[in-house]
Amino acid sequence: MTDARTHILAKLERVIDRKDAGSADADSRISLHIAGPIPRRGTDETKPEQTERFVREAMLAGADVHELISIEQVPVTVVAYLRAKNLPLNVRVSADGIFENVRWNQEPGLEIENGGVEATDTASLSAAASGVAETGTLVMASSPENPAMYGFVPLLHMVLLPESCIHGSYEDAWIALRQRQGNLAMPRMVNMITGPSRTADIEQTLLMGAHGPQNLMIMIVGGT
Amino acid sequence: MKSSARHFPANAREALADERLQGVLDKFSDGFPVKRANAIARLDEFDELRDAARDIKDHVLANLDTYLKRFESRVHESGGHVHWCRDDQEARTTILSICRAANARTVTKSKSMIGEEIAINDYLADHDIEPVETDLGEYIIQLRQEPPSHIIAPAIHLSKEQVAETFVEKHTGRDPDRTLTDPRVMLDEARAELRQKFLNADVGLTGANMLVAETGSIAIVTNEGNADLTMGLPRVHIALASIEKIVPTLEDASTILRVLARSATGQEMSVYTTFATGPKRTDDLDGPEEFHVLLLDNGRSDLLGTEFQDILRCIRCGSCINHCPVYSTVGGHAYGWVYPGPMGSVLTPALVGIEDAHHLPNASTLCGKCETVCPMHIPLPRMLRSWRVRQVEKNLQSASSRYGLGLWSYLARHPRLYRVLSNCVARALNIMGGHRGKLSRLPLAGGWMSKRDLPAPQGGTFMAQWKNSRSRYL
Amino acid sequence: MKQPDQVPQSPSVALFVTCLVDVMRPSIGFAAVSLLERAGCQVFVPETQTCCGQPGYNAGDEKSARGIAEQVIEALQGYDYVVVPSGSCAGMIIKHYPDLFADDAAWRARAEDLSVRSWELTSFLVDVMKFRPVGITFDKVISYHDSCSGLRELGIKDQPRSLLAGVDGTKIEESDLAESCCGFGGLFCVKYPDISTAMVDRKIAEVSDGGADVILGGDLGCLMNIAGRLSRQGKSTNVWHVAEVVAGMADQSASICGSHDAQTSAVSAVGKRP
Repeated sequence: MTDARTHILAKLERVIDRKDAGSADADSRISLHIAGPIPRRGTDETKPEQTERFVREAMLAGADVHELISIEQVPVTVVAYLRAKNLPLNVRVSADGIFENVRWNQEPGLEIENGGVEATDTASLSAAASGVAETGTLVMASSPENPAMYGFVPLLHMVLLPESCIHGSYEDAWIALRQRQGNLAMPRMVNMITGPSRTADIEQTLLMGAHGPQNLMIMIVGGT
Repeated sequence: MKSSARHFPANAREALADERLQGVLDKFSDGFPVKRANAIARLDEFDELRDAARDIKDHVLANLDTYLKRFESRVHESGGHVHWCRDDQEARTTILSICRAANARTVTKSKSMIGEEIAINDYLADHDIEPVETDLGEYIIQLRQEPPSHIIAPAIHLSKEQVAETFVEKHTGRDPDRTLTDPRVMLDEARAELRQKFLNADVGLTGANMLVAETGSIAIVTNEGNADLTMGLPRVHIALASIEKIVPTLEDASTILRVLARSATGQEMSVYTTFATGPKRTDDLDGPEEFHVLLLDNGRSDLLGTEFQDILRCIRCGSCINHCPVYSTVGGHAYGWVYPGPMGSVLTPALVGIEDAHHLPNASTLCGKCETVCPMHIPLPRMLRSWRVRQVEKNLQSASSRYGLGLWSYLARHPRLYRVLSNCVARALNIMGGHRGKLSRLPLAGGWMSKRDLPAPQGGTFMAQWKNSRSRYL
Repeated sequence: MKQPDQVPQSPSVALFVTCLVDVMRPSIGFAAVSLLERAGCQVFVPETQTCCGQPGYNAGDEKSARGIAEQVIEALQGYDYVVVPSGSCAGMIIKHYPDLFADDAAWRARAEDLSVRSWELTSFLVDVMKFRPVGITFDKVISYHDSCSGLRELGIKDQPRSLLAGVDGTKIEESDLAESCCGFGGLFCVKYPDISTAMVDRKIAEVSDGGADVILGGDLGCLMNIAGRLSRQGKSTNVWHVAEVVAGMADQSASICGSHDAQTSAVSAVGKRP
């Protein structure tokens, strides 16, 4: 609909009060990525404090958080959690390189599948690009290895978050994401996730697990 | 959606007489405002962020064409399509043609106020495509064939008993004699019903909270995760956004996110904030094959450069609605169209015409609470008053108010006449009030007297008494 | 919020009495005069004052509001201060007069000059004159209604409370709805009486639950709305303007919508002043 486009743009050109700036300003604003005010809680903390805040905020938002010393503890943590939630020991695990050396066979009975998520999946495990301490928010960047739907279809979403990927603020997470992408475009889906799915649409009663996961379990792995 | 805004007084009376609704509204006023206050108390920088959020949108509005073009080219680069639509009709036909090309039979939808604005559900249904609302609140009211009563909590007007009745009636594959009293059980039932719809849908239709010019992404915020399933599972994703939803960068989006959830539900952050950029890529295991963004004007550009421009900063958090004493008395349906409360009373006259919505800007005490809680510093009371100015200019106010105010203004500008008349009125009413000190009936004062007594004046006017008393001293 | 400049010795103060106080309840005007004099001001009541123009302004009739504003500006020139016993009329003069003359530089300058000199009564007494009441007793549990314009346009919240704290025997029982609109809203209560009534009912119910004996406020419009509704409901809660209580004159005039039997004329009350 070229004519609608022309019509709208011509009209905007006519009615906009350009006391603020022209297009040069708009371009520089985009290329400079100027940040707005960042809350002190997102900027003024040391790395250990950021991890501590991430854990606290994520739990306030209803997530369950486990701090692991090494990636070797993942299978036992996953199994214990599945058992606690009375879920079958089946997990859809993403093809992220970080899981490559996980020895799932340590846990007999645990069944691991890779590939795209299926409607019948009850639990999934994928890797986060970042964690943001400010609000305990995970930043998930979609890719062939980490499909976005891992975070939405199953009843339980488990996420591995290297402690080194915890940042103070959203802005720091964007910087990290741009570095990670290099010249590539924005990941197709960037999901910022703060706690498990919920609704309060029935008489303002807060309930978890509206359409997405009823439980969000985060494993923070130190060291790496 | 057809507007019934002109029937506001009747709608409001009906709402006031509805005891069930009044019970729900009582509960409502204690919910969101308290949560918002708590969230803001936890963030020292909230006011600074509000200022910054306002400045971002002001900057965008001053460069809207530039940013829209920039956004469009980014969407193209990521393999998506952009459709510009002047009005609701163009938006509906565009959506229909995309659905037809995809041979769509069902469309899942995540909550979109623009979707309500262009009444897309009825239109799709008329063309044999089944629209399925997936936000739990929207789903409930869709089953009941009701419009939303709140922009972020569309079913806030319903009690859980009403929800249960609706589910028992509409979820036909289940035991009709089951008891539904626990909201958890109701939610699980709805989740199961909707999960099947998600998996079967051909097209997913979402709104957009923001459009990021830097990346060509649409940003969508939900708590349920329904928008992600809506855009992630079907073959085609259509995002419906009005042109003022642009923000320049991810940093700017972050600033707005920091005030959005706190103002809306009192959460630090909504559960899911998704930035979606283009269709499924090579080797992706999920995602839509087509990604369409509709850029809808529908009256927005008419507001640029006018005294109503600031309403285009609105991020639809609902805070003004949550804190409005009129809304919390009559609920959302009384307003008669898509957007209720203060932001609606400013926006609706602009979108459906002041002639039809003439009550809305007047149905406010101008108490100013809305402006104090607006994260974007929108001067809502000033704009409600500006609509009243437009009404006077167009001669739309009632004859009684025109003549009454005309007479008052004449008297107020003639102090001597005013002195004499006001003293006579004060004395006469004082005598009528007698020793009771009040009046319960008075001609032409039905609006006041129907529900209240009027205190009787104490005697002569202050000015008359002052003159007497001071001349006695001097 | 406004900051006072250097305060002159015994400043000249014009009382803008407001049309409602003038007709409906002169005792508020006399209480204001008494307080201003006790605070050390010379009080004048300019004779050509009428209404601040708010009814027309809020109804969208800016032309007539401008006409009235011009006359008010004329009437109130030449005094050190202008004091108004109403947050909404004071807000009209302080905040909205300058806006009314956005396109008229000469009148705008005059409106701004008036704006700077004008104060709401409780704010003037506390913020400018640093006044504390002495020797006044009011043995009641009070619920204070923060009127919208005073609260949100002028930041008036602590001033009336600080005056009341200087009155012996007062106890303020803060209502959760102290800052909620009472539903008056000028013409709103006449155009939408049902909604207005529901709003005031909620307020009244909350105050009753809190156990207050009296409701005080700084705006007669709101107080008439609240008192008129209380009276129609047959409730005994009394309603006064805060100035009447702080001036120690509450017992000299019946509460708003209360029986006039016990009333002594407000004029004689002023006459008894030493």
